[in-house]
Amino acid sequence: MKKKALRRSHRAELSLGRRGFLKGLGASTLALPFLFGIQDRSAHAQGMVANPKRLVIVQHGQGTLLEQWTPTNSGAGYDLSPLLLPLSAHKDRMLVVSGVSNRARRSQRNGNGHVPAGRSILTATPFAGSFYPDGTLRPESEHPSSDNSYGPSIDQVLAERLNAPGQRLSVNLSVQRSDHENRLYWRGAPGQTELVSNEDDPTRAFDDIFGGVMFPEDNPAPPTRAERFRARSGKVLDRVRSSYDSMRSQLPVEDRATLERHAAHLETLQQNLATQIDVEGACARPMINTPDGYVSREEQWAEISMDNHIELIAMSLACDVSRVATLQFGSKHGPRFPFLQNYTMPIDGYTNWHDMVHKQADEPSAQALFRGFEWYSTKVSQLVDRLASIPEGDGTLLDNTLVVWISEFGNGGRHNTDNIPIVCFGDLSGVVKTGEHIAFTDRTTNEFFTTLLRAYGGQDTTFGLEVGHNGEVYMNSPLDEILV
Amino acid sequence: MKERSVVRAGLVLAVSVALAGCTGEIQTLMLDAPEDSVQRADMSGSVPDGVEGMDAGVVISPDGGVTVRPDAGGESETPPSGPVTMPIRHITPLQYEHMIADLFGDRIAPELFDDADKNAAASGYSTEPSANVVTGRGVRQLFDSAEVVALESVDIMTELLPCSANPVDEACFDELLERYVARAFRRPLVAAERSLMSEVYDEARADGFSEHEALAVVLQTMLQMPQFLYVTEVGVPRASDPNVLDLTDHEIAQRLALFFLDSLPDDELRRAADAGELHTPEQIEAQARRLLRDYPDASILERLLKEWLHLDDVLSKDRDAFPEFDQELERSIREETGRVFAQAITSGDTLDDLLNIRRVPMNQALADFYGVQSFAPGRDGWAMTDLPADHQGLLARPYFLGSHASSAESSHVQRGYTVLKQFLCSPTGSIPPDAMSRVPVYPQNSTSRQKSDVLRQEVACGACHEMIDHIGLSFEHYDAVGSWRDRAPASQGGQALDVSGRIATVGTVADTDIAGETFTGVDGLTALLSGSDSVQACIPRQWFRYAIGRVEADEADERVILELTEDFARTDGSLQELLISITQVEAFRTRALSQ
Repeated sequence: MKKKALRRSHRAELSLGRRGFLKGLGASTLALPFLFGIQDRSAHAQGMVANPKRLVIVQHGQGTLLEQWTPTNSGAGYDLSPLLLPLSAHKDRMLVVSGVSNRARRSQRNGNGHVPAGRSILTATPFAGSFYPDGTLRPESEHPSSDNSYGPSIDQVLAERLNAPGQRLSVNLSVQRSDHENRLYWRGAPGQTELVSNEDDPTRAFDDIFGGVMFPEDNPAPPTRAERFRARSGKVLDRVRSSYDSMRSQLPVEDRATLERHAAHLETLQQNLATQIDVEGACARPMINTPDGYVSREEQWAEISMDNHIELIAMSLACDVSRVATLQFGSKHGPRFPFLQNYTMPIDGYTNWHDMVHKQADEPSAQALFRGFEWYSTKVSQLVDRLASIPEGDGTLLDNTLVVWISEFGNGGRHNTDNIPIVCFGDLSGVVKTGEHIAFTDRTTNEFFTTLLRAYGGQDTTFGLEVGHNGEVYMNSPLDEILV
Repeated sequence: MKERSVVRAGLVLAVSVALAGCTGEIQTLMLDAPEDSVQRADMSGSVPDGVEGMDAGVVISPDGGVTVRPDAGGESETPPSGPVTMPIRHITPLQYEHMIADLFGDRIAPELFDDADKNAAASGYSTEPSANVVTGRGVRQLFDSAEVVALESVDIMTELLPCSANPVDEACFDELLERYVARAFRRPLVAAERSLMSEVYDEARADGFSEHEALAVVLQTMLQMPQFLYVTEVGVPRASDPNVLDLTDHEIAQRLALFFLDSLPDDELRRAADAGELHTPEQIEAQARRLLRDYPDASILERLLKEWLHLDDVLSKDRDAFPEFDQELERSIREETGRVFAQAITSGDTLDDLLNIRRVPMNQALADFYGVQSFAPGRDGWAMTDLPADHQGLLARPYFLGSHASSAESSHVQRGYTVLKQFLCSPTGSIPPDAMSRVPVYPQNSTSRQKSDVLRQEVACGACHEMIDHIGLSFEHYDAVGSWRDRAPASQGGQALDVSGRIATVGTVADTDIAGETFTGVDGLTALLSGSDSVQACIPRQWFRYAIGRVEADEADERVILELTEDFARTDGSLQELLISITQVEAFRTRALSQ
């Protein structure tokens, strides 16, 4: 009991937010570019465009009810579908994209229906283990040797391009923990990607992103012991990393890569802990609000997590911690939406959302399904509202941001990756069309993501796996129809 | 019991079956099984190009199938097996927890380290190196945990290190290194490590940290270093073959500690290693037997049991469907099976004894659960008690039955699959990518058997479900918590149950010695498994996977399994002797480099 209390106090102390005060204490002995207290990012930030471009990707699991999601007409005068109605306030700044399929999922055998869809939804590539070492695709009959994603995900590719040196590559949050099937974010070169982890606990996320930052309202009292230890963490990590370097050379060759990977994670951690934040403009302390008894992994708190995550993402972007943020509804089976009114499982015999999704034609659970999916719409609407409330330049933060809301399935009940529901918000300073429903026929996520890269100024002509099994072509041409 | 003289012939089949199957490890049997139940990432090992065994008659075909030539060696014994590959591996979350507890007792608890983002273990055994590749989340958790341990140690430093009550001198610092750092690193420190640690200390002092705080920083650093977090085995390269490393005494102590305790070497292992008395098979055997004596309910028994039989950490059941299934009963159910297994090992029971267990430790909650009228609790509330006829045998343990069920319904698929894979080493293929769109529509109130009859007609589903379902349906008398029921549940129409079963003659199971056999109920299945040489050959294979933390991948692995299987047969299937045998093969004290 005592330990628990003590533990919480350490974390609470660290979360006070006084990194500025402690600046310098953690100066590193290694000459790394982004170490704690050394580098002040405002220097290079000044040399950059005033309003950097950002990307937010929101994903929820289990696809949708396509009949009630897909608008029946297209173009500028389209009518919002029942599931998109909660977004009506944003109609003129959103773009509905239908008819786009994730084909790369077809090139990976195995998995339980969810794994291949999750791995490929943002990467448009199959498993790393679906390829031979020379990069050619294994025949369909062969089992993949690894179920990591082969390629990096679109958010990480854009993070590499959009972020300035020293910035955190991305802020990745999830409502409840993302399970094995729901691993969406992958960083690194094709064939060598590493999973990017999500944080589900907003207090931890705050600690990770803003811990130690001095906000104007903070009391400049002497640092606590926990803060002094945290402030020296750069030095501890220097020592730890040096031990990985020296041990590596003493090991048999086949063991060395393992320690190299670990050391790379340590380097990223050290950089993240050292990221400097300039508290200016719209940048302010994100207010974390969690009631007593809150546990981020439990579904009853999903809405609370969501509200906090929205705040964390808004302030991460406003404080220019990173230019890419992702938000995932991590629990695939889980959501039971206990916070919705009159929504108590079992509903029509179903004890969980996932079973309900599978049987989505059955009444009356279809009604309950609708309400679940509708909840996602309302929360996305809330995120968009928040981004649009932050002034930036002559407009708002949303004007320089593209929010992409997506799911890994179209028809979730069939675990089908055709007709993925996609909605974009914000026009990226006039680059992306808004106020329309663009109905494609049989186009691919490869093509859609290529266009995203182009929307951010890239000259890209392809993304992901271009040709799958049996010569099926996934990449024809970008979907430039969505650009202004 | 069957004559064991036929074991050799049975082996030929079992070996060829099991390896051929291992490249097709199923990922998740139930399309949407709870993620912690059957999820196994498909990470099949690389398959060697055709390699021919030179002297043992082991042949590996290009597709990875291994056969042992029946004529090889004639009547003589198979030559002893050799080294196998054992790459560097990160300690598991459980090992981390145990090691911190060994170091600091209950004075300090670490933060959670579960690294939930890492890959699942293809072998099903959590020590698998590829399933312990740390992710960014894991590195962050380890950082947080080390920080918390350090912060909490400051105020109790004089308890942890009594000499620090006085000004910390060199002798006291050395004591810290011996008591904590060298133990954590599982071997004596080298000079560079000693000087690194004193630099860490001095640097913290120079930054204004108190002596106790600076000592805590040493602990904080230590807990993130590879010497602690990784199982490294450098060994001594053999003069005759530099690709074989003979492990040092301390590395052998580390293997024994990890195998039996999932933790740091205990004092006696450290003493033996320091004294250079831990490298001959006899020395290793003596220590292994001592460990089984000293730690009769050590974690090995529990983790081996759970990972071999795919048992859940906690059984979570639908409260409405099973109002009587409370925490007390849930804990008792798990404890019963844990005690059964531990006793079977410590008392020298055979596999057949375990499969046919009739008397188990029971408490009042279990007696009520089983409907035992004349229960007389012992002093701690537990007493060895005869099981009622409908609950006898390992396969009728509620822990096993409840782990292979959903929260409200029994699962003949999970049960059949577990028996196939873990007792018969006969894995099925993987689920077709479009499986969900092929799930048939079942008539209202279908029983499990009726659903299976329909599903097996589906071309893409039938091949595997033919193997799985005929075994699993024999379990239908047991509901989701493992309670006996006479009739099908009301949701399935409530009629009398048909629990006839059959071992299929298709797929990998067709090559077992019980293919085509029919039986009735779990009793019948148990009798069939008890007499099967294929089962007798599968258990050493499973436990070997536990020992090396991976699925066997090459001829060297197969040779070890062969040796273990022969030893197992020689001891009539003694579970304790199987554990000892594992420590006696050359692979336990060596490491092969994969070049």
